[in-house]
Amino acid sequence: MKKYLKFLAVAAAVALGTTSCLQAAVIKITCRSKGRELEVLRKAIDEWMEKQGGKHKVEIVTLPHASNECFALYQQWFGAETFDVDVLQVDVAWVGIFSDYLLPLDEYCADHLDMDDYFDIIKENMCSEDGHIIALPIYTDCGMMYYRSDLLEKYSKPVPKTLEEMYETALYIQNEERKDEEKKNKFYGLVLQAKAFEILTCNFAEILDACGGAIVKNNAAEINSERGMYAIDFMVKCLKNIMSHSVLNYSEEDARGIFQSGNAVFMRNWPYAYALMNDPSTAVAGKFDVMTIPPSAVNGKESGALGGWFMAVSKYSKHKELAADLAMFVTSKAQQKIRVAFSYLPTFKSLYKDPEVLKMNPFVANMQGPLLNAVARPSRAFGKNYTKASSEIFNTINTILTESVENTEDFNAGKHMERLNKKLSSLLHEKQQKKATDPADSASKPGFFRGIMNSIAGFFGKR
Amino acid sequence: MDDQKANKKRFEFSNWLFLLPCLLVLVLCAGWPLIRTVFFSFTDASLDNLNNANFVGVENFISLTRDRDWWKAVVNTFVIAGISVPLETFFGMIVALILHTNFRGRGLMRAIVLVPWTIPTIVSARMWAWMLNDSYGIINELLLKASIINTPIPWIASNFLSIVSIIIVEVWKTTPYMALLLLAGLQSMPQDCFEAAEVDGVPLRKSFTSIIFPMMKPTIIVAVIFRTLDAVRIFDLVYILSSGNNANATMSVFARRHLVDYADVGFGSAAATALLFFIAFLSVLYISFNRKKLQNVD
Repeated sequence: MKKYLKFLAVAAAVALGTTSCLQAAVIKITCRSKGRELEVLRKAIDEWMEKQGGKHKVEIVTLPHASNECFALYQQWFGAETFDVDVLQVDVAWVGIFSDYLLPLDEYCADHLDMDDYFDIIKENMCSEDGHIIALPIYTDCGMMYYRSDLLEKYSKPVPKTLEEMYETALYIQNEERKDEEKKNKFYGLVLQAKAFEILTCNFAEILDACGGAIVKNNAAEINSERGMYAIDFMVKCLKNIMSHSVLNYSEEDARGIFQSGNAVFMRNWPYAYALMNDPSTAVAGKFDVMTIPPSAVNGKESGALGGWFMAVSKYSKHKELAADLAMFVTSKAQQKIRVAFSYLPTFKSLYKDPEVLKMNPFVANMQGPLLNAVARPSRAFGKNYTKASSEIFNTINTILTESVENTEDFNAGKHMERLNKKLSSLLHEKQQKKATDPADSASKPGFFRGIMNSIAGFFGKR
Repeated sequence: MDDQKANKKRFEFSNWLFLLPCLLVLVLCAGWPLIRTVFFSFTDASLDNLNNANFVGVENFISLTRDRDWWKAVVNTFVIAGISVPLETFFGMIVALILHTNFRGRGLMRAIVLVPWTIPTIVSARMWAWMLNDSYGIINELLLKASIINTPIPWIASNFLSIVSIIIVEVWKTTPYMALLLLAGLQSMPQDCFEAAEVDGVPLRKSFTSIIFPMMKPTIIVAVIFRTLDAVRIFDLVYILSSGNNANATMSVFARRHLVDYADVGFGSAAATALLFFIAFLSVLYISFNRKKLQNVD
């Protein structure tokens, strides 16, 4: 009996403890682990916790490397409706797709935000379709071309102005460098990311844009246009002559591994790699520079895929106010300024002219142009079908590239591109139709059998 | 007599009573998700709309049989399973025979052999992905240094070589498991046959083909079926060691892609259910084999 009483006492204490915890909340925030992101966010969070007087705790939930995997994870969480993550790091392409699950932040932050200072292309992506602010940009990303300035100088080649010129330069330097026995088997002209993941959609979108084409134009798919074929042929040419076949399984960090150990002339990557590679311990520190993805000589324009991440608050959060405050704090101008040192690009125009920022990381000054030229992935055009569309794109491009080096006899890129265009068209069409039919209408009266089966389906769907 | 019957009945009842918690856990952990998946395969459910899914009959299965990528995945799965399982059995048998002999440090050896099996697959897959990288991977480096190859091999980027790499790693990983099962079979074999063979001066090779192998046959078949059931579900290795395009997906990779990446729970569940069907088919093979074996014993 005594034991039982003791147990009761402990239970009561625990219960009391939990109620008193209500004031001190634990906020959960997700964060990616690419480059130094986690490290930087942790510092910002420590600062926030201190500002709050150490009353609240923040827990970081790390996300997978590949962004389409993060996307899948979020979809599962949102599908389950009852998850306890408060602040979510979301990709620029998903804000529109997830808008139903994100908390409108207007009432928390409308007074504190300097909306005019955001880049237009970023501002477009902060809001839901009905104009509420639902996500705050933490940093922006833009695909760009890294090049070995020392090698260009060594072979007295100018910085290439067009894609075609870049190809020629890469091929020349690759052949020259390979004369060295050490580099014979591992030196390449170019390295990019062609693993069949979201990153390949980014890579292709920007080359396509640089060649003057587009995936979707005026709500119609036109990926297999003449410019589209030119872009894919260019990629095939690069793969055959100036890239390692292994790029077909490369994502960002694999590519950085090659360039950072001094084994490539050009690399397509995000800005985050800049600071990491300038670390004195790397083989290329101080020997490289960056430029935008150069335009094609025919009909081209400068380009770079728009990337970048936002912080958003889940609609299901139990600590909405605190979560919104944390999201605002980590995305604030002051925090973005700190991030510049780690080469995460700020989303405020004014920071690109800030002398302190330029002193910390001079290359930021060159990035305003690319951001103004950046090309967004067609996520808004496809809506909820975007992952399917993107997956069709990266699968087809990866297949074409693979076939171009494996079964050279009956290689036919046009056939694949035509099929891809058809699929994209039907996905676009599907989205437009979905919009046209009201969801309440579409649930027309089911028959008796179907009615029963539907109600069973409802039972299985509940958790 | 009656007393005995009642005793037996009580005994049976208590058997069930003891089994009940275990059965309950099984039903909750395995049964419920299984039934749910099978049910979803007849609906148009999507990840963000599970509650209001509509019943669509066998539509998902019809489009599954028309999906080229699905059949490619089926072929890939059986190619991987069909090549890796025999190799595992072969190497597992060798390892088991070695571990069966008496030598110093045998216990330690038995533990060490199990290491590849105990590493979580996703970890060993990542490890191998680094080793197989064409530019900074150790395997290409060694082959280049030894002048076996002239240019680095894109182990995990090319469609064909990815499958080869997956099979290599799969064999590396599961040979210990196979060895363990076969070793258990070897140890439960009566020793007198060997002794008799030794006394009669039967050469070692002959004693393997005429004594060990026939006596081991049931164990080998059971082990092979267990491994095949497991190999058909292969996921993690494919996920890491291939470039991720449809050409080298397996059935579970295909199912996951539709279920999770495309949020198409209905179609993905249909693919998962089809995979279940393949596994059920193999299980029936196993059970019917077992029954036959028992009849033979009788």
